[in-house]
Amino acid sequence: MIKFKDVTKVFPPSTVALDTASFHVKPGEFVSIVGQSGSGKTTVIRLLTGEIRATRGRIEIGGWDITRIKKSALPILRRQIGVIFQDFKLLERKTVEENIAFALQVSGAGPKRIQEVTPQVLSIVGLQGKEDRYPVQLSGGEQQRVAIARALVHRPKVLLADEPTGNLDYKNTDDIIRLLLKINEFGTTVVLVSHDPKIVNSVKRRVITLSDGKIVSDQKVGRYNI
Amino acid sequence: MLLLDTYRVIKFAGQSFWRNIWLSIATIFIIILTLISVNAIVILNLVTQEIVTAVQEKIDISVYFQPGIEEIQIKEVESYLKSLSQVEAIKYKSAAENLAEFRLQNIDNPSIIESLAELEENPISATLNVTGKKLTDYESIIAVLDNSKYKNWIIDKNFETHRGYINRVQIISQNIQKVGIGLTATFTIIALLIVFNTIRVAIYTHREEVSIMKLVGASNHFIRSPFIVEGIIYAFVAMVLTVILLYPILQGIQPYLTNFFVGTNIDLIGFFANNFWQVFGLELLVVIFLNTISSSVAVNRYLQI
Repeated sequence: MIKFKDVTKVFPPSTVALDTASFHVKPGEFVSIVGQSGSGKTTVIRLLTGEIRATRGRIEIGGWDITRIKKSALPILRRQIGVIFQDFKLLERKTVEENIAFALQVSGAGPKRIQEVTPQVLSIVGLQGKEDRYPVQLSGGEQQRVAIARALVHRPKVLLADEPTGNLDYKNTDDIIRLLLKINEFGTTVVLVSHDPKIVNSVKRRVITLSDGKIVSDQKVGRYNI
Repeated sequence: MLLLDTYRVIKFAGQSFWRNIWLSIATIFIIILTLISVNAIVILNLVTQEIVTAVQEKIDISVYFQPGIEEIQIKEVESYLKSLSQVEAIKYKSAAENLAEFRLQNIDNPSIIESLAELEENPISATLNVTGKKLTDYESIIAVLDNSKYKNWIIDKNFETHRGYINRVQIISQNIQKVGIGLTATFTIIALLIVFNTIRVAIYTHREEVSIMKLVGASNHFIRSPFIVEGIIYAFVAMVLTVILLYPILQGIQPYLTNFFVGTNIDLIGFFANNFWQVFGLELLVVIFLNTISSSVAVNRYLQI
């Protein structure tokens, strides 16, 4: 599903964010990428979404070689990848339903499809009945659920979660991780980026550890020890 | 699908228009100023053209011939002048006709009438009254006559008295056009910069939506289009407001023009009514074109997709 082969990313003038990193994520896997701040975790996510390009190496995602992808093909790639962030990235002026519908509208979905998909994803994340609430009327955990629902509208093959629990308390963190595991059970490949050992260790899945842009360990059922 | 996308693009553009309403108003105001200055030039052109036409109708060149030049020779000159592209019409006046006219003009001056009676021969020669197609043609008609084989047959040409008048009208007309073009160019540049800056601010205001759009796989075209459409909305709104503002202005100045330029046929409202689409349609197309360019430059520069 995801292949990193000798990927290096250098930010000008000479900051090496990722140094000849290689790993392979199979379809349906749940992988945690861990490391200290500045270790290159977020660079991996940004490379996978096509936001930035690798300086060297080759990245494949769902059969796409995104190191050579044309700009015009990026939106099609992004519809196959769901992404969630620490800061949720929700539109404050839109309701829960509108935030989810927005993702479908901008990619050309018709009203029928929007009416069909929105309740489905809201049901997956457990937010039925809160369609008309605005983000400020929701807890942090609920806001992240809306972000996850939005990420699921295109039925992505891969879900990238960049520090999704960074702004959440213990209870909400636990709920979100459970939700990610549930989504993974449905067959979606999940890549979780985190610096929190408690979360990573509770998941008991594959862990790739980065340090100064290099992969220092890749454990099948790993632990993250600071 | 295409219709739905178009509807959404227009909707997002409209939202952006309202979200930065004061900036939108300022942008539209500047475009209105530009359009009003363009229409002021149209009005000035119309007025000067009417004046020039009125002057042109009153001006001709009277060519006087030497005593002894026969009518057949004058007809030869008439044929020669008719062959010139600058000549609109020629009227031959015989010596007898000119004398009768001269008598009529001086009927209250007994000394002139008596002097004429004492003369045995008609002292006034036959004339050709030449009308040019344009005011600028008179100079060249005179030049042609001065260099023709007929120059020795001609005793006088009365164009000199009109020359100063014609030159003044032409200079005023040219200066008005220069000032108008300068004013329009200035407003156009300001409007382009304002539209550019407004779109830049709109991009900044929508940075959150844009980042989410990118995240969820909106096409580049879909992300860019609302900002371009926003520029087109400015053009439409400004054009409509300009038309609404212009008609009362025209009604206000029409009576002054009619009174000031007596003898001319200046009808501003009639002109704009009869040429509504030619004038305002063309202006709208030009403003849309310029706004699209300005918005596109801003989008290319500031919207990193």
